[in-house]
Amino acid sequence: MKNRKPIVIIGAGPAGMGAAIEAARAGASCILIDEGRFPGGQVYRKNSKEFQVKEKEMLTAEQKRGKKLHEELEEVSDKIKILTSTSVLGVWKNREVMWSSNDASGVIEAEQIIIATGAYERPVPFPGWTLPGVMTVGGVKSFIKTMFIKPGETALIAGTGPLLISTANKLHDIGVNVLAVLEAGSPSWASPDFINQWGDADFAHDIAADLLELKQNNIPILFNHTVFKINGKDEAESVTYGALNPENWKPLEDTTKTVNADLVALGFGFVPNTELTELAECKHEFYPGIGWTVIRDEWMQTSQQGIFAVGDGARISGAIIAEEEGRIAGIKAAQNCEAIQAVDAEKRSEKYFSRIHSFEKFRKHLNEVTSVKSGLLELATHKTLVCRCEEVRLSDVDKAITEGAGDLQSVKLLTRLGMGACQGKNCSPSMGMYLCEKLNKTAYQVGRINPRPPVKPVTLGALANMTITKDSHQNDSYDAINTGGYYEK
Amino acid sequence: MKTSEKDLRINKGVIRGKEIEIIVDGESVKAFEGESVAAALFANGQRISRSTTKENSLRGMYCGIGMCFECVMTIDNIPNTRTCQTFVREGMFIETQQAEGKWKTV
Ligand SMILES: Cc1cc2nc3c(=O)[nH]c(=O)nc-3n(C[C@H](O)[C@H](O)[C@H](O)COP(=O)(O)OP(=O)(O)OC[C@H]3O[C@@H](n4cnc5c(N)ncnc54)[C@H](O)[C@@H]3O)c2cc1C
Ligand code: FES
Repeated sequence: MKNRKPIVIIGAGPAGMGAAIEAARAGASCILIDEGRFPGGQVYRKNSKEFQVKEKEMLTAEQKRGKKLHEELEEVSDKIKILTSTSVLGVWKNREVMWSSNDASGVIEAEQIIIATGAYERPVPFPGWTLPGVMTVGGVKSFIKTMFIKPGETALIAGTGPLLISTANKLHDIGVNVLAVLEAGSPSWASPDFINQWGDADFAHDIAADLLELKQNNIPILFNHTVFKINGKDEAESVTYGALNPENWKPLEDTTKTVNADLVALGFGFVPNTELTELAECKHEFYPGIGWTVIRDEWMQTSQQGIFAVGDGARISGAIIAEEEGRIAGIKAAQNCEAIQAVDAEKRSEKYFSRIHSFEKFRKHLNEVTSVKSGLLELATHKTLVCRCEEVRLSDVDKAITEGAGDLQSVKLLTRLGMGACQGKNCSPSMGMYLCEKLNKTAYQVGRINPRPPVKPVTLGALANMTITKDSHQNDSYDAINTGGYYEK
Repeated sequence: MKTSEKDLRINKGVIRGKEIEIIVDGESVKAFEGESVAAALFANGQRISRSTTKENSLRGMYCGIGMCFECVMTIDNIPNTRTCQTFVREGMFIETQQAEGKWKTV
């Protein structure tokens, strides 16, 4: 292994950390990039180093997994260049990675690229969902976990899946009055049967523990219910909620009640963030209930040679599988760089493959029971904003359809839907589903809103300072960026 | 310093960074090193970050992970800065952003 170009890993959540650990252990040179201040991603995010946080005596299973992963990364951190507070603006199929950090930017020519950019919460538009005080459950959970601040006084939590429960408990812990958890789906994942059936998956135990805690906290959970409308002048003040038809999740209008709440946490599952795999022209496929996912072989390689996709950014599988997928990709990428032999790669990855297989059925089941059903779309009225950035209403989309728009791209051209700062992340999942339902088309016919570089904001000053890095021994261009030091005590 | 009746910080189990002052819409506001701008404002009871271009409606932090751009404000004269991803610094100059915001030369 001479002056090889590096393996570039984008995203330092469990998937990217797993990849970096294995690639470094195999002796390959690698660069791990994340927009955040510290590695950890959404689940294992570290506290600000300015804060002194008293570690709890009893760590949850999730905290234990995170601690172990951080320790493993720390062990090999002298072998990895870790660039935090650094955004990747684009990735191209010739394996160029463009990044920026404050007023510096550059292009790295990579030998292999591992994309591990995670997921974001599925948007479900309904009246009032743009009011301040309405947040995603994941956003609320990590906000209180890392900032130790109450995001509101009285909260209602709605959506689907286990993250609702752990967020409710966290809010309760810090003294927020949690009125209820509204689960749009049926009790399947929250029943003792579920735990009995899947008890060998440690994530099932996390769910059971969270449910028990919810009960002890006296927080009611209503199944087949959700938020219909959030009311308030400048901020969320009250919430109107009601029952859903269990079959198709259509709102049952005559069941509504209104309660006062200044914090509404919404979580309808996750959508893979595929903007970089799209830019790299990797092939994607539509997975009912999840959305667009990246097509990969068993080693996590995409249709583009030398480009891998792992974790929730490729397909929603949760933190545990994300880590194993990352490890497998890290090993294979190291083999592709000739750091290790094929037989060695097989041996190193064996246990990660078997962990994935043992988890797969469980994850598939959980995805099935918590995937949104199209009746929810009826929560939006004509006046509801469906594109938050460009302020496009459902009636604008309907008008575009009447004028002949038959796919997302033409709706975009007629209405500006998806042309704002978030690049369509907060409108295309719901409006894609809407077009499919309304026009009786498939997701492939309805298409997608294509991302454009830069996928993250960058200043002109930073672009003016751009440098090109061709091999991992050429350090000067990103030495300006804060590298390393995250594990100092 | 602005006397807000609100301080929504939780002090159990954590010792924050150094106390500093940031300037929010012309007023001095308490913050602690290690807090995001959005966090410091939330702690002070301010959840509104901007008003929109078309309808002048109010928005605040939504995703918390840098994806939605609802939390953007003008920070040190640079508009559209995501407050959930930006950390406070002594004397940081923060303005509620109207529409696209304005670039200012000092
Ligand atoms: C807000 C939020 C909170 C969540 N909380 C939990 C939880 O408490 N428990 C749980 O089980 N699951 C949680 N999840 C689900 C969770 O995302 C995953 O199961 C797990 O974190 C997936 O790991 P990952 O490595 O695939 O992605 P992530 O952990 O999301 O890591 C992806 C990383 O990529 C970085 N990134 C993305 N794009 C770029 C770019 N262009 N340039 C640079 N860096 C980039 C991000 O900053 C992030 O650190 C949460 C999800 C979200 C969105
Ligand atoms: S809250 Fe979404 S980008 Fe900051």
